[in-house]
Amino acid sequence: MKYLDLNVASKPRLNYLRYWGLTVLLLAAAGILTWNGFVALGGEDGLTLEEKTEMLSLRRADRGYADSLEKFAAETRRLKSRWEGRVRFANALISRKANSFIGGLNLLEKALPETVYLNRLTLDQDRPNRLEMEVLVPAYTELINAYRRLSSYQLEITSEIPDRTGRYRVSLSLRIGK
Amino acid sequence: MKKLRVLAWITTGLLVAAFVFWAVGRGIASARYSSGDRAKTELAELRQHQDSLAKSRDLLEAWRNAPAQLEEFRSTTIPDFDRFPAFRDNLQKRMSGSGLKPLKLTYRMRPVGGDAKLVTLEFSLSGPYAAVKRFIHEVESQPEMVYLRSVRFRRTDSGLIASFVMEAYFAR
Repeated sequence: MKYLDLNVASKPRLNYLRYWGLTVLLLAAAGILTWNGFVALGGEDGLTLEEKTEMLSLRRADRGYADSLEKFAAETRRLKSRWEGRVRFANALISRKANSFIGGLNLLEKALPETVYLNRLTLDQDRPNRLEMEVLVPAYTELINAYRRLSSYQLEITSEIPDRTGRYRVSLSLRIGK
Repeated sequence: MKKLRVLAWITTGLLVAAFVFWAVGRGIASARYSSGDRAKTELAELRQHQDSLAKSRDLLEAWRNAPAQLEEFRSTTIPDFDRFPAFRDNLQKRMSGSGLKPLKLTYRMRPVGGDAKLVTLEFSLSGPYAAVKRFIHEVESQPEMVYLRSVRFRRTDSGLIASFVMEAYFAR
């Protein structure tokens, strides 16, 4: 006997797979949102405990900052106007005393070729970084050699006069120190 | 069926609650981050204030010490003028000790810097280069405020002549 299979339900049949799948998805989304909410709330606020302590003590120390600064500046101005001239004078003396001509002579001994003769040499505190001199060079090849050796000392040549015997009388200056 | 419907409502409610919790959490965190940022700026400013104060205090301290340091500088490097004969004698000894021959010596004296006297000596010495260099080294090594203003070397037929301008300070 064959039964007639009729659907007499008033509502469509529930798709369980879809229902539970959607429920799990929604619960997962709720879980992720809650987790992110906790992470946001538990995040750092920018200052460590040491920095917070430091800030409290700095705030205490900072009271009257502008007044203190102005007081120091006024006192400094007063003392400066009274003593600056003497301090500048003392510093100028110290600077002169500290300048050494021996260093320039040592440099010249090293830099000048042996065949070059020194006629005149000037060392002056007013031009502390320059050696001015007149040298006598026996021949043209020696002259070029000398220029090559001296060119690393910011060589400045003022005049170069050859004489009848083939010697050259050269006025030049070199930079010493920085 | 009714149970499943209730479960669906509960799930939806949980999702809404989670969303609200997340939004509020983000809001609070954002506000706190911005206040943390302000706190960091304030901390940097406070540190800068302390640095400025320390620098101003150090500068003031340096100027407060200036009179004592100037006095110490004067007493150790600038002798009283009654030491001038000893200074002159010392110079003569250095010249002859170096084996150099003095050619001439001229003086200029004038007051400077309020309570000091500047003595400018111009003199020429003849002798070998090594001796001149030794003499320069000895002058430069003196603890008193004596220095060479300029040195001019000149080669002549008879040898080397070095012309010096020396300056020495004495207290008046």
